[in-house]
Amino acid sequence: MKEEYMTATERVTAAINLEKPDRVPISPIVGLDFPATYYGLNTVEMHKIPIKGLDIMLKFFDEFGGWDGYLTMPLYKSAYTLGGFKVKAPGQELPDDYFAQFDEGEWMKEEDYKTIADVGWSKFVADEYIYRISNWTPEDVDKARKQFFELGMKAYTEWVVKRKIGLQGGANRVHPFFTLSLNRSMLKFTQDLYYRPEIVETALDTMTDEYIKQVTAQCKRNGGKAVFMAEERAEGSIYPLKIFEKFWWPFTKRIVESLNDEGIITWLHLDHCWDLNIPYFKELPRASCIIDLDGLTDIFRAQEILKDHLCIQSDVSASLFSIGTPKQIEDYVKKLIDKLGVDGGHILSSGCEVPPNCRPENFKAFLKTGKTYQLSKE
Amino acid sequence: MSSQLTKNLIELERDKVLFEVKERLINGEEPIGIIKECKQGMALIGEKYKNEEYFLAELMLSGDLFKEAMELIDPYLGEKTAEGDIKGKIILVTVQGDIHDLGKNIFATLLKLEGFKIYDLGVDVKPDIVIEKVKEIKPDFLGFSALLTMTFDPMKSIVDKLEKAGLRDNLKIMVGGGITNMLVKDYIGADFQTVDAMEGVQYCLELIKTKVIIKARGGT
Repeated sequence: MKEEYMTATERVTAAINLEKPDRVPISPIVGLDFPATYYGLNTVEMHKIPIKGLDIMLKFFDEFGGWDGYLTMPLYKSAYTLGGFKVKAPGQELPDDYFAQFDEGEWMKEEDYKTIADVGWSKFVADEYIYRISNWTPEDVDKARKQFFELGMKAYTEWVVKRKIGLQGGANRVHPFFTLSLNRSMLKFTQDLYYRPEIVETALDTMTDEYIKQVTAQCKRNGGKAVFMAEERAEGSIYPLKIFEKFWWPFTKRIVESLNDEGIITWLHLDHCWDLNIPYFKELPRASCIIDLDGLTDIFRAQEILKDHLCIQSDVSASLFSIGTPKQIEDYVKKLIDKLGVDGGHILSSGCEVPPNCRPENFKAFLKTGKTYQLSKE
Repeated sequence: MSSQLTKNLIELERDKVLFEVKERLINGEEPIGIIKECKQGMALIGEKYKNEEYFLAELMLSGDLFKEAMELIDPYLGEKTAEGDIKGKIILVTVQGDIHDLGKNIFATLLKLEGFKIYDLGVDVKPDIVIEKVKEIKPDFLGFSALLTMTFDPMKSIVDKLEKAGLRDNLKIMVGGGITNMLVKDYIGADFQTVDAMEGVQYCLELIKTKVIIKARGGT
């Protein structure tokens, strides 16, 4: 069998730049929940003391022999609250053995759009919204920020310095469109898009400039090479292209192009079915972002359209990880490698996060096949 | 020929629809006729969705608009019922461990429009409660909505228990939601899976039609 000759960073960078890596890089999205379940723990304490969550993630990474990956922070309740998202957490609003989930509702009001357009999302959250979605005091906010900063420092040391992870993420931010949808509720946000488009557009405009400014500064401070941007609500399975073209595409394009000018990769985490929207991504600069799909978009068609233009991150589905067999996982990983090719432009991954009830043998099969299949053939 | 109310509903002209419904009710018009026009609009919206002219967003907006119109009409109905004949009974539920209800609510609205009686058990529901409700209501369909893989085992356990209790024979089980696929359908033992609410409605309509024909021919 041919041997690896690239570091994780070289491998991931080659794939993003559409150049041939020694093998397809592997970067599953492993958060807090799967490692915790694997070690028979609930995540109650990890949501309160996130460094404990990070320790579990690191232990898990080491035990499974590692992968090429990405700098990963545990997503815990206070971090969401700081970003302006209402989340229900185990041991707080949910039973101990549950997993954290977005608490979607009409928390943001129609009149808030104007404030956001005037002062930006971050200031709106810091000045008033955070106190609407939590029972925090200003002292709690300071404490949470300090905790987040300390966690970030430790994550950097552990992932980047010690484990030399493949792609150093500099920021992890939800797309402005998805941010508004989650905080306004999907129905109300959709009504806003159709019946009050101007106020949404103005807010998105401010949020986009703010997004670019903040994540660029963050990456310059911490040396990050990529920004993780999640979106699950703008795709063609929900909205017609006229909505996508007006409220999502121009803002996304502006973000990706601006970050690309600064040498920063946008990792576009696109859940659900984006079949209708995929051709638009050809308008983005070559090798400027990662198109990360979750199993609902036709990945093989997406690759046909975006081949030699953008890197695709693949999509072993959460259901396959949790109820499939190692053989099914192996077959699908082989299919991905065979069909998406080995000449760059593919990062092997999970479709969204590896679920908490993933069968460990399935995860092992995923890593093993990813690490050995291509090399064994060459 | 569509009325102006029907047309406005199809065009999602929210203010115009609600204004006209209010006006006609105040002027003493028969509420059943207004409901009929609204339902006609919703049926045409369903057609547009099937033809890929409309998307989930428009289904959501029209469903909400219809609901608001019905809230205006309701006090004028008196002894009459807006539902008409009930086509079938459906229990919808998001099981234990999952608190998402967006997809389930959209599906419930669409089914109500087609004349199904919906028993929405809510979110994070324990398996035993679902079993009890199936025993009590004897529905034609049981629909699971799922967004987390942690729901797979509770759903499977419900289906297994229904089987053991002899409650499965005349019950069709559906599962839907972004996390589901055919693998999940087979794992939990459901009869049907979709990520498309409208496809789910079509499934229910077709099955109910078949059931009615079988009954008419003396079957069970």
